[in-house]
Amino acid sequence: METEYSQFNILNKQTTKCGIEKITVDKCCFKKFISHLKNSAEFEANILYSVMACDTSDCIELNYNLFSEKLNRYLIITVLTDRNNPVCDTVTDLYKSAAFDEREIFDMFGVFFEGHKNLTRLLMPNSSVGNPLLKDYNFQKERSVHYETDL
Amino acid sequence: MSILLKPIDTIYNWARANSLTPLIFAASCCSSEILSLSAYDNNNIICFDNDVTLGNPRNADLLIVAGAITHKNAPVLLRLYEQMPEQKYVIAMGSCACSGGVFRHNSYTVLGGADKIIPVDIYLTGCPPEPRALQKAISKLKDKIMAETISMRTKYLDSHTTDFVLSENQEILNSVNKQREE
Repeated sequence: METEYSQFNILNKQTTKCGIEKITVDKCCFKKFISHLKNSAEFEANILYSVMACDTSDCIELNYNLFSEKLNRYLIITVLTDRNNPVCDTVTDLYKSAAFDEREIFDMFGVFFEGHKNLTRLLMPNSSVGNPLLKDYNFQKERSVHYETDL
Repeated sequence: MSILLKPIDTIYNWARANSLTPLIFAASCCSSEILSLSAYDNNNIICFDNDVTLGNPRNADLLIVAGAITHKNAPVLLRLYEQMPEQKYVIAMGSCACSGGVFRHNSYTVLGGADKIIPVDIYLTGCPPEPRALQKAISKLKDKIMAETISMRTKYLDSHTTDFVLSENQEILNSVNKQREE
């Protein structure tokens, strides 16, 4: 495994309690890494279960949960984005299931996915201000919502 | 005057109170209690007639708001309320529709109660209220209808208009967009 991924800039590698491998990749080569995992014959990651985000006050952490039917194995890819200017590449051209997850993360955390075709708010109304799952979200100030005409 | 109106009121109110046509706004889990009510109240003694078609705001007089109202759902509820013909009544069913319930504090999606956008006649608490409680709420509403008079109709109409207007003008949306850019 290690010799296979040596060409990518891997920052950290650990195993969770359930035995799932968690790999932290640098932001610049993460798209290449995922497409490599999808296309390589060794780890054929054909399912993207979910994309999750977490605000760890230093950065916004994105977790991609991949699954390989061939090996019957899970893999978690972690990318760290800058908190002040969160930008990341989209994976919708590789996995179509990522479209809604990325829209939700854009809504809740304000992460901008470059190359996403329809990056609009999913759960909150379009007129709402702020991203509610960020740690510095002010509930009292940003809660007031104006309703739109287009239902 | 009131002596002349008394028999008219009685007949008019009796006809309206016993032919309530509901529109069920099923936002979340409380709406499953309405389904169990239809099994419970199989003779339709207390509640509405099940033969009438449900889910049509143009024919309905009673709006049952069942469940938590989110900010995204609120304009839909308001539009449905506006589509109903006059002399309309609203039951807020469940704690979420009454006051926001467990989602009241520091929630970014849930509105604190349906009465923030539409006027509510009967508040029915419970999480969720059981079918018998809904029966009692409807019978209370019938008592309320029976107490009305035609001469007080303007007073009724004033109390049943919504304060909230769907923002027709673009100014509010523009101000929000400016805030977002800053």
